[in-house]
Amino acid sequence: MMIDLSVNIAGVRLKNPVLTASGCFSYGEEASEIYDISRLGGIVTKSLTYLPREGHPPPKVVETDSGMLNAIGLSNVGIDKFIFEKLPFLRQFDTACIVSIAGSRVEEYVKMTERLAECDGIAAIEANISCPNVDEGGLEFGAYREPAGRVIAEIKRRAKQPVIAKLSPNVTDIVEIAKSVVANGADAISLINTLVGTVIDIEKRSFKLSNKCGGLSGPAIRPVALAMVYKVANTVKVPVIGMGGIMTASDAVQFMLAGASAVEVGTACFIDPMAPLKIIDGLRDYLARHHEKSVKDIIGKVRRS
Amino acid sequence: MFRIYGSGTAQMAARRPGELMHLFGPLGNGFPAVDGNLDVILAAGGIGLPPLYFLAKDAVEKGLSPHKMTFIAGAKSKLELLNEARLFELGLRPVICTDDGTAGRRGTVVDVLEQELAPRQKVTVYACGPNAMLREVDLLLARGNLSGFLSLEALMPCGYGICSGCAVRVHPPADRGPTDDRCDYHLKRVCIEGPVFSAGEVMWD
Repeated sequence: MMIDLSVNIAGVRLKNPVLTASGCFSYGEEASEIYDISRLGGIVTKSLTYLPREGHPPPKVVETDSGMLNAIGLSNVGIDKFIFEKLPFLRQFDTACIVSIAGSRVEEYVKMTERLAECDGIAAIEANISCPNVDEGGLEFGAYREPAGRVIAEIKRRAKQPVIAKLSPNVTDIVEIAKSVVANGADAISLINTLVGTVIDIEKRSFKLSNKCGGLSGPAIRPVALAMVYKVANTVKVPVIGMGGIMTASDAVQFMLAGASAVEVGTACFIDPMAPLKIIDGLRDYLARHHEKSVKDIIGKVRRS
Repeated sequence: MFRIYGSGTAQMAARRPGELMHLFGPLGNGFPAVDGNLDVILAAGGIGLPPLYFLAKDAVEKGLSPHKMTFIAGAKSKLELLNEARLFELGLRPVICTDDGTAGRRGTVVDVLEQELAPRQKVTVYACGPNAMLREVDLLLARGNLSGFLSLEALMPCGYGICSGCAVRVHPPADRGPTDDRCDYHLKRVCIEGPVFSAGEVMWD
């Protein structure tokens, strides 16, 4: 039996629902030397800023129980270098290229959206309004309803591609933020970004990260992410892309049953570069075992009672 | 060869002969081959010995006389000194040193390197060991205006360049344009742009 793994996100057809998460795939060059990245449903680039960013000094990462903390600080090549050097490379592959953008002011998101509007080969824009690791902006937009809605509205006004709003879990009520970005035109929502956390070295009495705090990812955050995906997917009418500690196909299935139309794989790529491909294969096996013809038929199908 | 540092290496150490493991590599750049026309010192601290042993072995197999290389092998104590007999088998006459004097000379690799550098004019140093040692080696080389290569240690979430977690500060390239965060440093990933860096390249803390 042929199993249809394709899904649709805001008019973008993905050959399968597995994408690589922003910041966990760089711009694709490294992974492309290991496997054929055309097998992925899509890739989300490292978040770009208008000007390049070096990022925080080391130490930038620390291992925690069932997860890791990172404070990379949005290291990226900047929008120009991305368009001229990285995008032509990514265009060679038959996979949806989603470009993540981040800024400290609305104007930066606007300028980047305008630049990307002129480019071919971009399936969608993921607006990162939830980076916990920069002093200004990022999370400031994603933390409150009004600024989150405003920045999405400004991006939407200029965007030629569908806009996905990436939400932060570091809020009182993520559903309120989700409603606000959808009311302002977001074509889809992706969640969750990392949870703010820290680790202290008790001998040195210092923080283990140069930035003091960082973003927690990995299996530790999966139940939190899953609950948020379930709540948001049950509230908004736009497609939801779920992520947060997805390591295996069964994790991915949980997110889809909770209502995600697609999933992003992040931290798992660090442990095993082949993790996204294993998840695609495992998803197919799950569907076969449950006699499902299409992955679309399991989206949101968790029993409510 | 590895040292038990965290949970990953502890898991590796718990494996028994005959068990299968997934290995992913080779990764990163490695040392440039030893140039037989130069005066060369290889300085190994602790677990830094095996890479330099293989570098020396490669040079010897390519016809370089082992006596053309000075090999310094140091450790905290005799117990932590790795199999130095292999160095003698290669025909090298290594200078062994331990911090506590339980084997070879008493002193650190940096102490011995300083003594070895003193009478020489032009020399290239290949160093591998803990970052604290490499920092001292780099400062020695800068003082003598000498060239060298340092293989850095770093914690690596991914190991193949996608996460930037292992990046170290290096001097920014002259042609770097404006940046958003106005850093006085540039970052290089130890996993794929390293682990070997040229002397003078790294901005030490």
